Amino acid sequence: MPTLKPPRWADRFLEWYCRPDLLEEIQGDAHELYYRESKTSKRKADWKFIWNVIRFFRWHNISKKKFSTTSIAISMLKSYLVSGYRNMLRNGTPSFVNIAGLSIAIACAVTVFILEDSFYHLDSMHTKGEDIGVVVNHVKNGDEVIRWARSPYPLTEMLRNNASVEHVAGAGVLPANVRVNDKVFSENIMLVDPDFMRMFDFKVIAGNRTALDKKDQVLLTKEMAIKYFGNEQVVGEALSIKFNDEDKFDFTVGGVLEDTPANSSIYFDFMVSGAIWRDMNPMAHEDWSNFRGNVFVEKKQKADWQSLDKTFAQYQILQNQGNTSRPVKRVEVIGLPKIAVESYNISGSLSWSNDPSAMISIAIIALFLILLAAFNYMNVAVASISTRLKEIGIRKVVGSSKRQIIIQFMVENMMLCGVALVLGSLIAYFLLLPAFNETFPVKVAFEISSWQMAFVFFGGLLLFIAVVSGTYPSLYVAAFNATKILKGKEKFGAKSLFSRILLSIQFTLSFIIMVGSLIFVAASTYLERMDWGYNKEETLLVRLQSSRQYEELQSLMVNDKNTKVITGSARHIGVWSQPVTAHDIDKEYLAVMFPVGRGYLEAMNLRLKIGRDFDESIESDRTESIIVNECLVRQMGWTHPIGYELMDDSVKRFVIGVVEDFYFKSFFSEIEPAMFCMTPQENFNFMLVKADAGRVSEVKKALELAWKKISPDDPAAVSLQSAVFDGFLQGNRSNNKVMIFIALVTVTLTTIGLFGLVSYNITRRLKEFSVRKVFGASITTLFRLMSRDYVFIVGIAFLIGAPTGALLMNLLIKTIYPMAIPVVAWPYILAIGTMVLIVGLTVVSQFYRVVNENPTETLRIE
Amino acid sequence: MKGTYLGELEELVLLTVGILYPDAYGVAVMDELKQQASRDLNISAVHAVLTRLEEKGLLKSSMSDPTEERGGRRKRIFIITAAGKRALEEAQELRTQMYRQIPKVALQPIVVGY
Repeated sequence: MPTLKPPRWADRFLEWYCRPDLLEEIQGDAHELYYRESKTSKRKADWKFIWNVIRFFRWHNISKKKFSTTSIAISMLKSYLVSGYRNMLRNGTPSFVNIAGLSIAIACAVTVFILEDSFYHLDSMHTKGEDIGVVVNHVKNGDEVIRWARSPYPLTEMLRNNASVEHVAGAGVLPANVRVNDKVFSENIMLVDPDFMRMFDFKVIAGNRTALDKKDQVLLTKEMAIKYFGNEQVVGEALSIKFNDEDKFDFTVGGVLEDTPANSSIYFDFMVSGAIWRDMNPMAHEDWSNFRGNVFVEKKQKADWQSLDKTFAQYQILQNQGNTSRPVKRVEVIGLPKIAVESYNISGSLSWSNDPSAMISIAIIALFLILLAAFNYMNVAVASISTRLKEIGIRKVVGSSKRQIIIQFMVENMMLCGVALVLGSLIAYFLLLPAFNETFPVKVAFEISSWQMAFVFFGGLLLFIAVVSGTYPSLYVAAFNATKILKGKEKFGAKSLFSRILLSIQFTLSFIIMVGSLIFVAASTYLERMDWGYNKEETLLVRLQSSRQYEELQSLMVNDKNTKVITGSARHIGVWSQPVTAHDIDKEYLAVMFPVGRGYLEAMNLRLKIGRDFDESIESDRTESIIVNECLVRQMGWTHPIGYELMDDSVKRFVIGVVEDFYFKSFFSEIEPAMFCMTPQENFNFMLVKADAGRVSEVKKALELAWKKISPDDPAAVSLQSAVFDGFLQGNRSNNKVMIFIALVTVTLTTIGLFGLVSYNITRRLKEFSVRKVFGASITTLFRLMSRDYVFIVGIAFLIGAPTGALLMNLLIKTIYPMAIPVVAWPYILAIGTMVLIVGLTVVSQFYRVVNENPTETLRIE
Repeated sequence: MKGTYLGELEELVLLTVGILYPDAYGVAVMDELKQQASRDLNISAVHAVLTRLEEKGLLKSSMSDPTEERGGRRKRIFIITAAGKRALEEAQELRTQMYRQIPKVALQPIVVGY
């Protein structure tokens, strides 16, 4: 006897489906082949056996007897579907409401899924994506090590010499003014090495893909072509780009690119050759100390990433010599498919990033909504069974087995869920996703990365909802005793503990979501109104293109009677900050340096804590005095900061004043050490004008007018200081909208569920209330009786749900915003208030039935 | 009309059953086809063809004695019927007849000259 046996399940499967008269020969052949094969390899034989079993699964070989039961099953299925459909029509409103609730929850889940799916499949359109990666440096900065996507400029050249590297391209973004005839706008220009376009599959719709091989050519997107030239046929046209006063270049359009696709994490409008960087910085090729652009590497298909390690080791030595204060400790290559997902903890990545905690929390919220809707559905389904008791009794008497009743209810349920799934997907397609795209700057298409993924998701969702919502009702129904039902003795759902627990869970979920989202709203409202550390309302900001403009503007504005202070700066709070290394005797930090003009502190309303402002008449103020913020003082551990010496890069500085901390980046990052030093007028990139209180708009108009006089060709660049964080605040408001939407959906779902439950409960207890009425119970007594249950449940749910929601949301907020956000009471009050109101209104809306009914009517029936 | 002519695979299987007489059954036919005609067929495909030929009346079958290597199961042994033999002959004849009609020139090796 052969000892090895083929996989049991496959054999059983064969026996199950195969026609009995054919089984012996087919199984015989299959086994014979198996034993023959198993002499060489058991694994292979197993697979081959399974394959053969699958191949034998043909119409001819399939059991005819089985088929006949299948046909009965199919006709039964049809009967279930029909009776389910009729039942749905009979209970018009409740079933509609139920399906609507489920659909809304499903729509949210579908939208969330599409968002997540698109996020985790960003950049998947590049065919060589598996071989492309970005170099990420682990840089030691003070006591911590941070991941930086920016690398020194010469690294690209060094990598190009490695035999395993197919292509390598540095890429960085610089702000500049683009000019075509009299059209001038500020744009972000991407400087890339020509091989960039050989690595990535960004579509070129006109001109030459490799145009950047020549450094006087520029690639631009369709959108930009239309913006500047009015049409797409622009190959060969001329445009000029001015990075700063010394660096202005003329370009010929070498090609037009398709607009950056929605699933690309790297965004660009203009691309010019990286060689331009060399023109601007002649020493760039030996500058190992500064971190410049992102370096994208494409390895040879057969090579592995380890083969780059030797080059990296060599680079590390050069870099560590060149920059002792920020040495690279380790170099890694992050593959293209993972760049977008990991960028949230990589600084300076060109790829846009998204904090995974946000992705996780929206997934959790979607799951909660689905659960809420499913429980709603379950509660109403159980309650609505009261109207179908007779049907079930008769089915049982006629000979339905327990199993068949369960199947019937599951099928019905599956059908309703299927309808809800279709409706939900439609809602997601027509409403939610467009609304999302409207609210946020990103565009997400209604697409799923692969059909397998779509199948698994939609199938899984349907199954999940159907099982969660349908299991209990169908088991519950199946357990009824037929004779009792038909005699009318079945005590139905009188005071089922289970349904109360379920309702409590539902309310708890609602409270978790509501309190959570309201706390988020509270936090972002707080941010919106937060003190920025200076008074931002009275200051206007002009972005200059040359210092000539400063002089001319100043001379025009100096006599304006509404203007208090006019000054300028090279870098500016909220717009442009750049770190320098600051070191004390033994401590060393990265600190942001703002080179500013006289009166900057006053123009910005920064609050001087100790010491004094810059004084132009003091020679040393112009060269070596600095004013620092409190954060720097804290980090350095100074007790009496005035007079302390500090080296910034190579200049020795003395502290003359300390200002209160202020926000100069977005609120997503903590306040960092910052310093001010004086800089002469010719370095100014910004002009700052402080207006008299209440005269801001007049001054703004005057500035715009003056600007037109001095620089008719340059884009208007006057803005309010209070608008510098608009991008951030916009995002914040968008998040707020989403959270408010979620809270509203939760309230809607809860109302729907409660409404169904209350109306059934009243129907059930109508007789009881009638008897009470006959014996003289007052309306208030009845109302108290009816709502007592719900009040108790809402109370319990609030006690559990509110703290849980608060805890979860605070975890999320902590990962997004580093600063402490004060706890406020209103989210809790609003949540409980809304819930009590909903319960009250729902009960009242149904209570009229109790009030209006005539006890004789109700009691006479039977 | 379906069933009146022999497909190429059917013809091969029919021939193989003839060759293997009196031991033609699924696995053996499959092996022989692989050896002689280098046809790599799945066992289920062989079964399908055998069944089809039996339905057409070109083969008939009976069960053999149980064998140990098949876990004590019997084989279904096929043999060619008179109709099967005739079908093979007809196919053979048709081929020779049609082959003869091809002009001689067409069969000469074609030389592509310099």
